[in-house]
Amino acid sequence: MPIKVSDLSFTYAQGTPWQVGALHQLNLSIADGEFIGIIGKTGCGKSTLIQLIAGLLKPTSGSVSLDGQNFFSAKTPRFDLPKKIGVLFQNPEIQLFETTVEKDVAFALEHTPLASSQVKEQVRWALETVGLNYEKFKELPPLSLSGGEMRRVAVAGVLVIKPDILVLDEPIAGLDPKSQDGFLRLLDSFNANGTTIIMISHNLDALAEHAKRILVLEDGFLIRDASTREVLADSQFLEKHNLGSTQVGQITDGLSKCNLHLPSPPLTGQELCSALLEALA
Amino acid sequence: MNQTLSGIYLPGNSIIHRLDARVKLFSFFTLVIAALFANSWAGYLVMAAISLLLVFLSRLGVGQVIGSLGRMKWFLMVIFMMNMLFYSPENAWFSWWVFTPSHAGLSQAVNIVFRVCIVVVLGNILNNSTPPVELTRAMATLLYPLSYLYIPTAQIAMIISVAVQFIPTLMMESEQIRKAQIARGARFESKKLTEKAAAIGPLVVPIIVSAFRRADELALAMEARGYQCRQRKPLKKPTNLTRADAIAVAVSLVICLSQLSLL
Repeated sequence: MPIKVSDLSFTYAQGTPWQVGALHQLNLSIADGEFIGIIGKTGCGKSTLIQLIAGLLKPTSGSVSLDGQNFFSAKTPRFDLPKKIGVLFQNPEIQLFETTVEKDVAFALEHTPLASSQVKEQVRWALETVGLNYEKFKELPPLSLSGGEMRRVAVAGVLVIKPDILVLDEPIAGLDPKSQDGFLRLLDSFNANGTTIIMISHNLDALAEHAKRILVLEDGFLIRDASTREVLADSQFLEKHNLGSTQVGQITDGLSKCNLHLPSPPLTGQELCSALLEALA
Repeated sequence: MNQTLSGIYLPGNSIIHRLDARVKLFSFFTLVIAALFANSWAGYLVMAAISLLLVFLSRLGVGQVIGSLGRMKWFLMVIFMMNMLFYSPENAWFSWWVFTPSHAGLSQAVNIVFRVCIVVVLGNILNNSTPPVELTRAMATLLYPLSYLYIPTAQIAMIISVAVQFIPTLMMESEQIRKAQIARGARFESKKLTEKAAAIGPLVVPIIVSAFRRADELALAMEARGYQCRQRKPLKKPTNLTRADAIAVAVSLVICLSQLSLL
């Protein structure tokens, strides 16, 4: 389901003293199976953009269309949209509410025509995908689990619909390094199976490793839309817009200050290693 | 949030906005007492005129202040019908099953609905024209004399101010939970009442859980920073009252006393 965003603007609390323009005249299109990272300073409109893409907000002007159909400007309630966009918010564990893990994960399947045996199978699949044993966890109350387990249950509750498009707002913030790695690998495997991934993150290293394309937002404007390499290896651009830099970028900068210039700026740790070996040989 | 709530602070520079929060709170209570004791058509007219005058003086817009009455129409309707149909079985126009509408019931119903409307409008003017932080500080000041009766006013003030300060946070979090559940298929927007009702659990349970979690965390953080439940001077810096403040107090007292004497 390709996504097309045209002339998209969004204003919060329009017509009140707190009116804030969050997005201005955005244009972009996202093809099937892309892995997109969205970066930008706090308050630049990243979350607003992904909520518009997921149909959780309705555009003030302009449109978002899915598969060529403009679902969002019409008065369509969100639940009539194709059930194939999964949304994972920051700290998703706050969305847990059911009495057992199984029921909570199955919540998104409630209004689907699946038979109960199929629902069970899909819940089992979702829980095992996030690394939780179905038999062990299914009867437990989700609110009594540890923080990390709650996060996994919440993720399973989103993945259970097997989304075609997965929209994530800072999904790895607050996870320990090993869980971060595991989660990003999980996203990679979904992406390899054709799921479009759109992810907001301040973690440029993670984006350098996993995303293929980066959107940069500033004050509600899309100021850059290019391949990950083009954006994250452009240290001047990152510095100018106060976006920080990747660890690999910092090392490359440090090396060039010591007069060791690498031929093409590396993006990931692995590329850095081979570039170093090449330069030293 | 894409809609304005009726009780929210609206910045402005009207004469009502500039009044001291303590004065506004005091005047609010005296006018509420006046409205509750108004018992004649003359009294009602005076109270309605005063409320309208305050709406215009505060430059908040009639729609903003009175609009919430529209949202309360079912509530108002219910209290009107309850009073009219059940107030008094004596001199009823007719009696059917348990209903006994009467003239006394009708006048009681008008009475009650009128008072509720006036209190709501006055409350809206107060909340719309005063920042919540100033309002809680004013409450702490007005409660202070009770501390001589060993009533823990500092704690009460702290509870109110913490509660008020958490409203925006909790509202933002509720909004996020609402969106997360919609994304998972909850049907808050459904026209079907059964689906709407079924969607309440996924919203309310996480909000309550998160409110308790926040309360726990805040209590810990306050203790960690050395908060103790001891009585302290609640006032930061008592600002001087202006002439307008004095006039406001005097006028509201006069209105209150005149309503009481009309009894």
